[in-house]
Order: sequence, then structure tokens, then C-alpha cells
Amino acid sequence: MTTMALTPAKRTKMTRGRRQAIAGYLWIMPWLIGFLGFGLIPTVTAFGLSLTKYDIITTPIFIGIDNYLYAVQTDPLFWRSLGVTLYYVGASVPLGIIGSLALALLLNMKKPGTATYRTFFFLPNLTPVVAMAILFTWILNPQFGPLNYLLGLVGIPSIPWLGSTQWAIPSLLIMALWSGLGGSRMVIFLAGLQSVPSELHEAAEVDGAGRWHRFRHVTLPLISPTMFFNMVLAIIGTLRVFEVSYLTTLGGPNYATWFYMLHLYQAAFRDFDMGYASALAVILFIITLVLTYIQLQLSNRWVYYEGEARNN
Amino acid sequence: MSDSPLSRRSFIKAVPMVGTILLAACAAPPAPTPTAQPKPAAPAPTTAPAPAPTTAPAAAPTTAPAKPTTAPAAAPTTVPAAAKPASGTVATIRVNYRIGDKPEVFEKAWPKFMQDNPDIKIVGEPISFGAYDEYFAKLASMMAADNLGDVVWVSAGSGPFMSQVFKGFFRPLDDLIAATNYDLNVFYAGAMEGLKYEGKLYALPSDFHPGNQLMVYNKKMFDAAGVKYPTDDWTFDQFNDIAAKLTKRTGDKVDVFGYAPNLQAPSYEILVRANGGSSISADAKKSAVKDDPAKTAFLWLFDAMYNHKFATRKQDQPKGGDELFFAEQAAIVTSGTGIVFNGPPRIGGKFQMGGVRTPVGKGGKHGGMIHIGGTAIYAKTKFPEQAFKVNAMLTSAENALTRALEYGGYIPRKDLFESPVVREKGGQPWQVVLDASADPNLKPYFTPYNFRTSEMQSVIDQTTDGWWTGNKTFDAGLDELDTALNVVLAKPR
Repeated sequence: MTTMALTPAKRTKMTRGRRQAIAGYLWIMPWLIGFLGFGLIPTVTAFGLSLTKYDIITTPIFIGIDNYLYAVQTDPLFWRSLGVTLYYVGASVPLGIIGSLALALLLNMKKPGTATYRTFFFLPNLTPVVAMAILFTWILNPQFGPLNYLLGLVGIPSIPWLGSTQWAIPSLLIMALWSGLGGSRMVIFLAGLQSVPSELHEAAEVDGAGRWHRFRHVTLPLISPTMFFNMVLAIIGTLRVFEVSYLTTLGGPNYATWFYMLHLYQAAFRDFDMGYASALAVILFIITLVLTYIQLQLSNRWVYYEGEARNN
Repeated sequence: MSDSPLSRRSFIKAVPMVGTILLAACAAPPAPTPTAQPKPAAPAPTTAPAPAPTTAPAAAPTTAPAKPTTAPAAAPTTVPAAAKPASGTVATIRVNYRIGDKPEVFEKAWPKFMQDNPDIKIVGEPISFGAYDEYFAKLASMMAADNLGDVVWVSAGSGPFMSQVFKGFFRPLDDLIAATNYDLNVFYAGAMEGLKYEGKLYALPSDFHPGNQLMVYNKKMFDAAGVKYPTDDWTFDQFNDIAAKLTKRTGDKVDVFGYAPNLQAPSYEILVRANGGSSISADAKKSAVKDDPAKTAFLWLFDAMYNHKFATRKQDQPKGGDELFFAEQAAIVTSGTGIVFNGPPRIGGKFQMGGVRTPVGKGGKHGGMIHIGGTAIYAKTKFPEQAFKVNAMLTSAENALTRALEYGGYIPRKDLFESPVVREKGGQPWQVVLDASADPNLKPYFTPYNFRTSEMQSVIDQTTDGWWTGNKTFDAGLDELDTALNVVLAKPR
């Protein structure tokens, strides 16, 4: 009779490094899944769909680069919407940056009640865009709006605001500035300003520098990275402008506020031309990428990084 | 360098795989194969036996509700009970509908219906209408995922319904109507036209209003100017005289406009039809805005703004003329039928509101226009008979009355519009709406050959703004509109 020797199963011992790696990956897994599911995969899919004729409900048909050719060669609203958007970006970004910086400088003064003012200036940024659009549609009403009434008191004739091709974009700029000047951009500037060493200001003051010279030669260089960061975000954000136009003018009058994103939205969700809308999205992605690259290149000329200078 | 068997590289390879598997697991079955031809799908195979004999008990009572109303006469709206899907089983009918704010009204008749029809279970899936696009985008996604309800609320003319019919996502109802002897005569003929494609009916009409052909006016202003109230047979020349008399100016500044028009595509079409034409050709493939009926209509509006100067321009009323009307800065306004009920609270007793249809044009009749919604049946439903029975219940006389009184949605049933209860709901402007609804000349808004209704409307709205903002001469604006419209109409289906 033979006996079978029972050998205990060999336990695989996990190394500490492996355990740590698994734990680490598990911790970042929610973000990774979100990034893949709602970021990378849709982006890659959109690129694929841009090469198709696709109406959501039927199978996409591959048409090569026809959507791109249609956009740049045939669609009159492509160039028009791009022009309207760039005009808006060109006006909105400088005004927004300068305005937010000015507000941040004011709120950086160590005066009584500054914290309260900071809250008040930030409040418009918390207003939902729909509420803001309704509010401003009323404020800018050419017949009953309080703005025209106030302008009338100082002898300025009634301005047609949203009903005019000339005034529609300035009207949307007013809304954007009201909402955005005191928002997160201002807070970032404020953080940047507070990181400027006070001894540099004191040294400059001792050397006889006035307020303007201290701002120009001390503050501005030291907050230039903050300004660069705000500018990159502002341009990216403003290129995607959509809600205010959708809620107030629907792109009108006479295409005056027909922004690129509105054109894309119209193609996607009203005309159900998802292939073309995807091509428009890819083009916007490329435009954003190019503009950001240009900014990065130009930043070498005007952005001053204190740490780099010290290292050098 | 880590000696861990789970390297970063292998992890990065694994994550997309896991993500893809998760996404695939969550995804719905593949979309139906596209149909190259306008060939609506045949009734889906069903295990249900043929419809029961017509002697079967009626599904829902056709008597008037308990409420002491003179409800519409009990028209033969009920469908003979469909046979059970299989012995002892219950057919679940999913209903997708747009009414998000008062689903209880839409669903009010369902418990009784299900009690009378134990073989049918209705599951309501209200979808937010949102800013117009939300509902249709959601439906399209459901179609792509092969997850559409059995009965679906659709909008003819403005939404993508006809395009979806063309692609075979909805089934024609004609065979079900014939099999159940369902009486379509209870509906207005114009409403039915809006839901037909190539002669086949694809939905039962469930919502209806005669659009912007109603004009409302400030009676106080008419009285003060010594102007008689307009009558149904008034002409555009008479309109011009009246509007001019009602306009008040201080120097060049207009204090009170005689007329605040609606500056949107469907309203223009009403004016064009009053002149006996349409904005697009009969085959719906080309622009017809340069033809006499359309040109006359647009020129009339252009002259009203820039020559007679009694009508508001775009800059005077960027969001429509209602506010000017309520503030007594416009004497007559073209608005939707909603102003009949939402107007008086806004007016607040300052004046009385009268109503009249858009004047009679060169065509010798009113320019008709209706907006129509309906309930369609998904081509792939497993229970077409049961779905049709639910559909019939949704558009029944009882449901029509409930919805009209408790929600304000009007099913285009003749008996509903003739009901004293409904007629007494509003004042004189409401009577005008009801009478206009019964006009046999009413037609739905047109659908272009390529089904690009939304795109077409947008082009008309934006391009005509060139006139209304004063940036274009009449001829230049007409050329631009004609070109832009032809660009859209030339696009493929």
C-alpha cells in the first residue's frame, strides 16, 4: 500500500513593491477609467467619426477627408463662425486679463473690508449662465432695459444691443466680463500677487521707484507666469464660447454671434450630421493646439521664471 | 528599476482593455442596419395571435368623464382589444414622450387602461424637451442603441421625424388602422397630412396648434384711435391703414408701434401662403422666395418697417414682440397661441386683448400653418397591435379632454375643438384659434425633400435678419436668402 504524501500548496508571496504598485494603480483607477471613458476614447472616436458620414441612428459610412474639405471649401458658415469666434477671443481675452488683473491689484491692497469685496467680486462667477443670460437679456433690452435708461440720462441715444449686428458681440462681451472678471482668473492673479516678495518692492521704493515703475518692473515680471497661465486658459475657454449665444441670440442677428461651437452644435444636435460635427471638433482641437503652441513659444520672450533665473 | 511583475507598461496596456470591456458591457445592442430605401420596416414578427374579434370588449370607456362637462361626443376612438402576446404573458409597452413637467396628466388614463387591458403594461419614459434639441438628440441615441420605446412622441415639421421615417425607424400605421377599423375622421385632415410620408400615416396626431397665424391687439388703443376692431376677412391693405393709425411718434422716435411681427421662418410662411404660394418649390427641392407670393410677403413686411414705419425691426424687439405689446408699446402683435392664456396675467387688467387671424392675401384666403406632434410606433416593436392600442388611448377623446383642460395640450380632434368646455376655456382670441384650427385649408409646415428642416429654418431666420437689422436692401437680401436656401436644399438626404 502506498501512501500519498500531501505536500502543502506553494504560497506565492507578493513582494512589497508589487503590493504597493497594485495599491497605487487601484487608487488612480477611478481617474484613469474616467479619463479613458470620457476623455481619450471619445476624442479618438470623434477623430474616427470625422472621416465618416454619420447621423447617429445609422451605421457610419467612411468618406475620407470629405468633411474637412467641405468645411474649408464649401461651408460658408465655417469661415464666418471662425471669424466671429476669433473676433470674440481677440476682444474678450485682453479685456478679461487686464480687468481681472486690475481687480486683483485692488483686492491685494491691505485695506479694511477687502475679504468682503473679494466675495462680492467672485459672486457673479457663481451665477448660472442661464440665469445670467435671462438677466442680461432684460438689462440690455433696447426698450425697457435699465442700461439704456442710464445711458439716456447722460445723453447717449438708445443702443440696440442684442438686436443689432454691430452691438451683439459687445453685448456678449459685457456679459462675459461681468461674470468672468471677478472669477477664478482674478483669484489666480491674487495668489500670484501675494507671492511677490515684499522686500523687492521695498528695495525698489528705496531706490526711488514710483508705483507704476514698481508695478512695471517688479510685479509684472514676477506674475508673468500667472498671466501666461491665465492667458492660455482664457484663449482655450473663449474659443469654446457657446452658452451665452445659444441662450440669448441663437447666433443672430444675421449670424453676428454665430460662434464656431454654435455651428458645431447645430451640425451635431439639430442637423444630426455627427461626422461633420466631429470634423469641426477636430479642426477646433488643432486650432487650439496651434494657438497654445504659439503662446508657449512666445512665452520665452516675456515670461520670467524666478527659479530658472536663480538656477542660471 | 522596479522588479515588480506588474510593470507600468503592462498596467497601461491593461487599463484600456478593462475600460473597453466595461464600456462594451454597458453598451446597448448595435444599431439597426440602415435602410437605403425609404422602405419602412414591416411589422416586426410577433408571437401574438391575430387581433381578437371586434366583438371584444372595448378597451376604454368612451363616455364622458365624471366631471360635469359636455365632453366631446364619444367618437369611435377605441380599438378592439388586441390579442394577448402569448398566453398569460403581458406585453410591456414603453412610451417615450416629451412632457416632462406634468407627466401625471399624460399618464392619467393609464391605470384604467391597464385595468381594462391586463395583457398590456405601459411604462412611461418622459424625456425632457429641454431647449428643443435635447429630446430629439435623446431619441436619436435611443434609436442608435436599439432602445427606443414602442410608442414615441414625435414632432412633424420641426424635428427629425420624417428623416427617421425615411430611414425605417417608424412603422406605418395603415395596416393597424385597417385591421381595427380605427376611425381617422375624428382628426383634422391637415393634422393628418403632417404625419404622412408617401401617402402612409406614421403617427396619430397628439398635439396641434395653428401657429403664428393669430394676431392679438390692444382694444384700448383701437378705441382711443377710433379704429374698428379687425374682422376675419380683413386684407393686408386694411392692415396697413390700421397699423399706421395706431402708430404714435414723437418726432422721428416711435413711441407706440402699430405692429410687432414675429420674425421667424414659420411666420413668414403664413404670409407667403396667404399670397397663394410657398417659400420652397412644390417638389421641396428648390427655393421659391423669388416667386411672386413669397416676394410679395417679404416686401410687405419690409415696407411695414422701412416705408410705412409702423412695424418693429429686429433691434426694437430682439426677443419677440410680446413684451412691447404687454407694455403698450405695440398695438398688434403676432405671437403664438400661448399668448391667449399667458397674456392676460401679464397685461394685468391694463387693457383688453382681442384676436384675429392674419389678413387675407392675394391668394384670397388666410395663410394657414399648423404645428403638429404625434405618437408613432417604433418599427421594431415586438407588440405592434398592443402599441397601437396604447397609441389610440393616448389620442382618445377622454385623454384629449384631460390634456386640454389640465395641461393645455390639444389633440387635433374635431370633437375636442367643438366641445363647449374647451371653447369656453378662453375668451375671444381663443375662439379665433379654435376657428382657425378648423380651417380645411390648414397645412403643416413644409418638409424639404432632404428633410433638413431645422437647417433650413435657421438659414431663413439668420438671413432675413439682414433685412430686419437694416443691413441689406430688399433685393440684396432676397438674393442672399434665395442662395442660402438653395445651398441647404441641395444637400443630400
